[in-house]
Amino acid sequence: MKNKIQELRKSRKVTQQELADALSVTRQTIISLENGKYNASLTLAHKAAQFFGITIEELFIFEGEENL
Amino acid sequence: MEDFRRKVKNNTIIYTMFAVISIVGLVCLVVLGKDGGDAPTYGGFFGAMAAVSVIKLVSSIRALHDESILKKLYIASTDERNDQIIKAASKTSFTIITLGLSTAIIAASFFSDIVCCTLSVCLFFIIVVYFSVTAYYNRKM
Repeated sequence: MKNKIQELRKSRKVTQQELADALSVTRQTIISLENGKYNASLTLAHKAAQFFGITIEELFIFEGEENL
Repeated sequence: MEDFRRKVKNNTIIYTMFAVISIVGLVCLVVLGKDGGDAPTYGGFFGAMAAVSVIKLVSSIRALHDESILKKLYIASTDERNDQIIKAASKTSFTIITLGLSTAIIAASFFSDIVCCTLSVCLFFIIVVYFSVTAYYNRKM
């Protein structure tokens, strides 16, 4: 699953550590999310979408049946 | 966060108990114990237990007195990626352990019945625990 976290974070001049603190996760989790190595849980996806003020569908791009 | 603070407080009590028990054990071993036998083994056990308990106790107390350390500890213990890593590691470890034990049982059967039986019991115990825990979580979730 792709996401726009890095793009939105950079456009809003937020550091990875600031985003990690706001979402109550480690910086390593943000790095993994941005690199597409880790898919966020529904709770984290919701928190991240809320942080950027957009919907989950706008933040995360579902690319078919990858995990089904 | 308040729940986590309470959890850290409870952990502090548990670590204190462990530290006291292990230090008392160590002292008893030194004062009452005889040289040789199993004394060095128990000494090592109590020493390691005391060291770990004291380290954990110090970090818990520091967290309770400093909000930023408490938050770091909270994030580290609730981070969902860490949970996923632990789950994946447990799954892989279980597979490796069962495969390794199975291989060892086959190898041991060629030279020692006692070793073969011991390893079989270990494997059986691991599988029983695995299925019991799986059944528990099946009902719980």
